[in-house]
Amino acid sequence: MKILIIEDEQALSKSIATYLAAENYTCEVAADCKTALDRIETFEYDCILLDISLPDGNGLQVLQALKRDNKTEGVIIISARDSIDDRIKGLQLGADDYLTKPFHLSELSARIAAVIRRRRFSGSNTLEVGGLLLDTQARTVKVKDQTVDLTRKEYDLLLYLVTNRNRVISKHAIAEHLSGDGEGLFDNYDFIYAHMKNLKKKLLQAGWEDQIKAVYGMGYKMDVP
Amino acid sequence: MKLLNKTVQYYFLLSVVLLLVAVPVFYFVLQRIVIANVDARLIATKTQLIPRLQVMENKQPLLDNDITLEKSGKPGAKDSLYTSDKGTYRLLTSYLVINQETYRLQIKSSLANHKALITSIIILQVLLLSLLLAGLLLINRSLARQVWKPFYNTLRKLRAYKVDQVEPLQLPHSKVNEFEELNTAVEQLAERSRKSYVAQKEFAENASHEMRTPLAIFQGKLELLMQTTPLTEEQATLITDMASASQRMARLNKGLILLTRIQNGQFPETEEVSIKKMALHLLDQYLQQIQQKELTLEQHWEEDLHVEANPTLVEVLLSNLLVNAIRHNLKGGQIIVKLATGALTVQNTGQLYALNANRLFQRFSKSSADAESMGLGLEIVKKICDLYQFEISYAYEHPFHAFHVIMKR
Repeated sequence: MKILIIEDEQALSKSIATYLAAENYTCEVAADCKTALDRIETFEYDCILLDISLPDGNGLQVLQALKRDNKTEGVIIISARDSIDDRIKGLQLGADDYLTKPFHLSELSARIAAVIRRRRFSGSNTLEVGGLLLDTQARTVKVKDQTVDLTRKEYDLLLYLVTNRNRVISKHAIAEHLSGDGEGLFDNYDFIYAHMKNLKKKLLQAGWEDQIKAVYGMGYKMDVP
Repeated sequence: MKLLNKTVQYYFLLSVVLLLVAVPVFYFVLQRIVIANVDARLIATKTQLIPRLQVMENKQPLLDNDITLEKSGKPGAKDSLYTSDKGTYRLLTSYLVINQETYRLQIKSSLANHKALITSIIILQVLLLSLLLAGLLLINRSLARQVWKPFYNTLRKLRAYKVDQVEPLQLPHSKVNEFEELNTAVEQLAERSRKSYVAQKEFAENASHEMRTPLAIFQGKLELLMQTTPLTEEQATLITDMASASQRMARLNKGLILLTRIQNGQFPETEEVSIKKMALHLLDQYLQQIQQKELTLEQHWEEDLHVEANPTLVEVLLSNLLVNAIRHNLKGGQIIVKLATGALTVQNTGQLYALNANRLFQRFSKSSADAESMGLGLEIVKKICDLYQFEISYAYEHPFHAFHVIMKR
C-alpha cells in the first residue's frame, strides 16, 4: 500500500511515516504543492494525506487536480483549520475524510484503513487478523466461524485495535475514538476498562486466544504475529 | 440632573430674585416720586394762596375741604409736610401771620388716586416680568434642546456601540465646533478600541491555530515513544502524564477557537432546535459517565422547547452544562434536569459551598480543584447565551448548584 503524505511540517510527516510503516504502508512525503502535483501525476497511491495550508499554495488545488485527472485515490485532509466551511469545502472537492490537528496517529491510521477499505471496489470486506474475522460491511466478528455478539462500542474498539495492531494505543486515543468526534469531555477512562473487559470476555468465551494486553495503564496493544 | 435643566435652573433663580427685588424697589421709588410730586403741588398751592389770604377779609371763599385756616396760639413754626395717619392724605401745614394774628394753614391732597395708579403699575409690571420670565424659560429650554441635540445623538449612538461590531462608529456631523470635536474624538477612540479588539481577537485566533501543528507533532512523537522497546513502567507513567497534558492542551485550544469563532459570529446558520431532544441525546451519550459516578439522574420534561439557533452551539451549550454537572459532582450524587416555562435548569450536588457567581462566567476562573477542568466551559456557555439573548443565572441552594437558562419568555 502506498501513501502520499503532503505536509510541510517535516517532524509531523516523519512521525506519520514511522507510525504507518509498522502497517506495511509505504509512505512518500511531499512538502509543498508543486512536489505533490508532480507525484500524483506520476504515481498511483492508495491514500493521500493532505495538509491544506502549504507554503506554496492551498492544498485544495491538489484535490482539484485529482478530480480533473479522474484519479480515485482516497484523500484525508489533515488541517489545523476546522471550521465547518473548511470541512465542507474539502469534502465537496472529493476528500474522503477530514481530520483536525492535533490528532492521534492511531486515529489517523484507523481513518486511512477505513478509506482504503471503502475505496477497494473489488474484493471482500473482510479482515482476517490473528484468528479474528471481521466483516467491516456487516460489522460482525467471527472467531473460528462462530459469530461473537458485540455491542457497537465493543466492535468499534476491536476494529480500532485491529487496525492499529502491534502498536500501543493510548487510552486517550481510545477514549476520543469511542466517544465520537473529539468529544473527550471527560477525563475518566474507566469506561474504556469496562468496554475492554467485556470485549475480552466475549472473545475468550468464543475461544479466542487473548492477544490484547494493557501496557502499564498507558494504553493497550494487540499483538498479532 | 440634565445639563439643560441645570442652566435653566440658574436663569430661573436669577429671574425670581430680580423679580422679588425689583418689584418692591420699583414700588418705593414710584411712591417717592408721587409724594415729591404731590408735595410740590401743595407748596405751589400755598405760595399761590398766601398773598391772596393776606389781602382778603373774608377768607371763606378760598377755603374748601382741602384747605383749612384756623387761628393758632403758637407763633410761626416752620412748614411741615407729612402723610396722614391712614396714609390717604398728604398734608402741608404752614403758619402765617395775617394782621398780627398767627394762623395755621393746612392744605391736604388725597393720595388715593395715586395709590391706585401705583398698584396698577406694579401689577402690570409683575405680570410683564412674569411673562418675560416664562418666555425666557421656554425659549431657553427649546433652544437648549435644539443646541444639545447632536450631543444626545452622539450619546445614543455611543451607548448602542459594541466594540465587536464590524462597522466602525459613524457619528453625524455637527455645525457646532465643540460637538464636532467631541464626535471626532469619540470616533477615534471607538476606532482605536475596535482595532485593538480585532487585533487581540486575531491574535487569539492565530495563536490557537498556530499551536495546533506543534501540538500535533508533540502528540505524534509521544505515540511513537509509546512504541519504543524496551519500555519500563517508569517511562510509561511519564509518557501517560505527558499524553494527558497534551490532551488538555488540545482541548484548551479547541475551546479557545470555539470562543473566538462565536465572537466572530461564525455560526450564522440557525434552525429550529428541540432542547428536549438535544438534551436527551446528550444525556444518553453521557450515560456511561453518569453510571460510573453512581449519580441519580432526575428529569422533568414539562414541555418541549424549540429555539431558533445554531444546532452546534446549542449542543455545546447543553453539553457544557450537563458535563459540568457530571464532572463536578460527588460520587453517588444527584443531577436534576428540568425544562419548564421556557427555561432549562440543571442542578447538581457537588462541593458544599456556593461558587463565586461574579467570576463564574469568566475565562479561566477555575472554581473546583479538578485540575482537568479548563475554565473555558462556562465562558463559552455565557457567550452562546449572549448570542441568542438567553439569560443564564447561577444559584446555590443547598446542596444543589443550579444553572438556570431562560431561553424563551
